[in-house]
Amino acid sequence: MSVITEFQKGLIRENPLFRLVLGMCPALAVTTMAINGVAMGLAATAVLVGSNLVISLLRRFIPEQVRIPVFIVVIASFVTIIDLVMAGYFYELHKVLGLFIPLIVVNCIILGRAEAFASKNTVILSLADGLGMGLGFTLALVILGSIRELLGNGTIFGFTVLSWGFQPALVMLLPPGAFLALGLLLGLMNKLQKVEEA
Amino acid sequence: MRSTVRLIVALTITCAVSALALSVIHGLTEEPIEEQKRLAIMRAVQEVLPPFDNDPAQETLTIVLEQDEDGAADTVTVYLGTREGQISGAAFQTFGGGYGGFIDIMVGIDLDGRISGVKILEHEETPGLGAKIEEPSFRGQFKGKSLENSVLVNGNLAVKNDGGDIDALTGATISPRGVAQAAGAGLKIFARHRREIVGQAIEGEGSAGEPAAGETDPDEAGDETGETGASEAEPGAGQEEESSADADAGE
Repeated sequence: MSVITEFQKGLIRENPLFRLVLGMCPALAVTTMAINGVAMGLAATAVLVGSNLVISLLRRFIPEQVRIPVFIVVIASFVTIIDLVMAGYFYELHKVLGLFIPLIVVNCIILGRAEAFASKNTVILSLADGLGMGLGFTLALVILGSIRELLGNGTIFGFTVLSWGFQPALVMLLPPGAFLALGLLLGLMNKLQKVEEA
Repeated sequence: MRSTVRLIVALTITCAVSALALSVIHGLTEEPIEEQKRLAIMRAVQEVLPPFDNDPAQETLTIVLEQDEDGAADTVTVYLGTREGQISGAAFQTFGGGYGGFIDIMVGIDLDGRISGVKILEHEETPGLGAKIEEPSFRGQFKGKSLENSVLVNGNLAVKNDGGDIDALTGATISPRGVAQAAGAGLKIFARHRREIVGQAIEGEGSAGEPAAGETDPDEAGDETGETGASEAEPGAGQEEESSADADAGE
């Protein structure tokens, strides 16, 4: 149970999106472009680290019976703070993500880590867990966003990758494309794990 | 009993601390957010106006729309561009229905009733598809369009799929339709309220003696009467105005 293992586990081994299959709503909704994945992932990471910190600090003072309401109040406060700060200082980014920021409140990853980890572990470990899970989520969103952007628009992070003779598949930018890409990625991850175990 | 009290205390403290933190952050960010919104609108105004040398933020007027006018809020703030004291054009906000919600645009119109620029302020269109209405290659085609030189469908600008002459986007027709609708609404509003808008500029220059319709006069302190007074004064003002009766051109 070292800080490093807690941090690393969220990246691949217990990746929230590919392995725990949590936080599907933002993952499917925002990943039309790689850059959106970066922004959404980092915003969620900020909330996750903040809520993990506060909840692990408070873990001895929160009565068992009301822990879920307390978690939700803490998480919702962090989300609102991020929303206001982004609106005030990163206006263009906020215009793109504005719709999705409030959704972080109901992102299962945040509440899931609060319940499963931060409420039972020390502050340092909880911070490592939050950061690792957040970055793992970001990584997954970027991979998903890159695939959809590449196939749907021929670009990655706005740079043209496929141009000559490439016919963009618009469906990849639409909601069905999110399910297709995510399903194939999950299948690939499962296959890789099997190979590793064998 | 004791444990119940403990639960109540714990929840109350949590909520109180959260509320305090939120109110502090809200207080700190309120001004920057307002400033950002204002800046975004002013950037759009400067982009869509025909060449100007004034500060459009300082020269605005409010026009009150009639009930049957679509495509904008009940009152519209018009930003005026002037060049060497002469009015060069006006910019204001209109909206149209898109795929994911309303599309708010800033439309700039020159004195000849031609669009000098269109900028998308807010929309909820699909990223990568309908959201491409933001790109200059799409917005640019509105430049120079007027109610006279465009193919109108039901009296408004329209995309080619609907029989108009605005190019739609690959895979997206509804979003461009919303922009065409909003831009056309802007042209119609300008045509109908031309006297209010242009008259304001002449008054601002100091050559015309009569009070401009839309300006808030210190005498007209009562806002209720001020507004009705403004719209009633309009026909009278029109008689002395040099601009001819092209206010009805939009019909």
